[in-house]
Amino acid sequence: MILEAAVRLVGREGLGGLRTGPLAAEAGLSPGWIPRLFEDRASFVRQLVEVVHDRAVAYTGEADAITADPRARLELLLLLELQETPEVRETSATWARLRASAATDLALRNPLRRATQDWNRVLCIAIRRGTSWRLPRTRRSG
Amino acid sequence: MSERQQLILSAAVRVIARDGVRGLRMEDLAAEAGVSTALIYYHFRNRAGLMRRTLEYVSERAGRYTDEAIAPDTDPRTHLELLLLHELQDTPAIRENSTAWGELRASATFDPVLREPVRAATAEWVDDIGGLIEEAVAEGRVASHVSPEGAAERLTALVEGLSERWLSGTMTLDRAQNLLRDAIALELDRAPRRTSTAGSGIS
Repeated sequence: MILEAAVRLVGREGLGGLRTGPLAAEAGLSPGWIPRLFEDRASFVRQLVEVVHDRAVAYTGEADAITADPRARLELLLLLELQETPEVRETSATWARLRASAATDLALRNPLRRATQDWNRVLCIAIRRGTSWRLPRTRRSG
Repeated sequence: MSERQQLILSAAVRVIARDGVRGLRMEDLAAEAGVSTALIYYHFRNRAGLMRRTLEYVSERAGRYTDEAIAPDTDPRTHLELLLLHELQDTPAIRENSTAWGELRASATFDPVLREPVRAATAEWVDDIGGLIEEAVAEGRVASHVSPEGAAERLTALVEGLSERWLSGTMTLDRAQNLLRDAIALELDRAPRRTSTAGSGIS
């Protein structure tokens, strides 16, 4: 709940907007609930990246429900990143904020790199499957 | 542009790179630039004017329009490759400038004052690259079936993405530069797409 509020807030205001008062307001909680999270900012920031990444994995993963064809699945994995829905807009906006902030905010770097590597890995596998499908199959006879 | 205006704009870029667009309050900018807020309003009229001029300034410093370092007789293909690769260089000025651009891009999502200037700055950049691709096609350095607009949009979007990944520590600069060079070759040297029932050419 607080993480979700943080995702919304960061999307709108950037990481600089992530302060106790605004976050409490966004989450609909009293500010007293928030300080514990900021005891370990690095951990909170890491969780933020992970939530955003997990969301994108979920809505792009819908590709599996839509098609079994490896090439079509590959294309959908990418195209589902670009959807005109509130969730995709919000998730993408927050990801962009986190990406931009990591130029100066070092706590973001490792989580972002891991998330990107995970994304690359999934796409790599999908590309191999999606392109080898096109190779003609040879059959041995006799 | 007067020296004072340049002083204020370079301070604006510094502030945005450091504190984000939300850090660009008039009082903070005035303090950073060592001028009065009145002078900022005099030169830039209002926040919208300041943001527009800051975006132009960032684009110019990114070498997106012209790069004085490029010799005038350079062929258009080489010219556009140099322009695209310009942002992937590890100097304090380029790092700061690109960081500021990333912040401005991200802020444009929710800041109505920024949307049009960011769109316009991007369009001008894409247009310039597209124009060079067209010239390269005319000189036979790029195949005629290549669409300059599509290639220009994809390549500039890629420069933004690779720059972000490098600046955020996800990718080494070397890797980013190599990927960009590969992408330029893929875009400009591609064989014509075989037309199939699935669709016609690439846009």
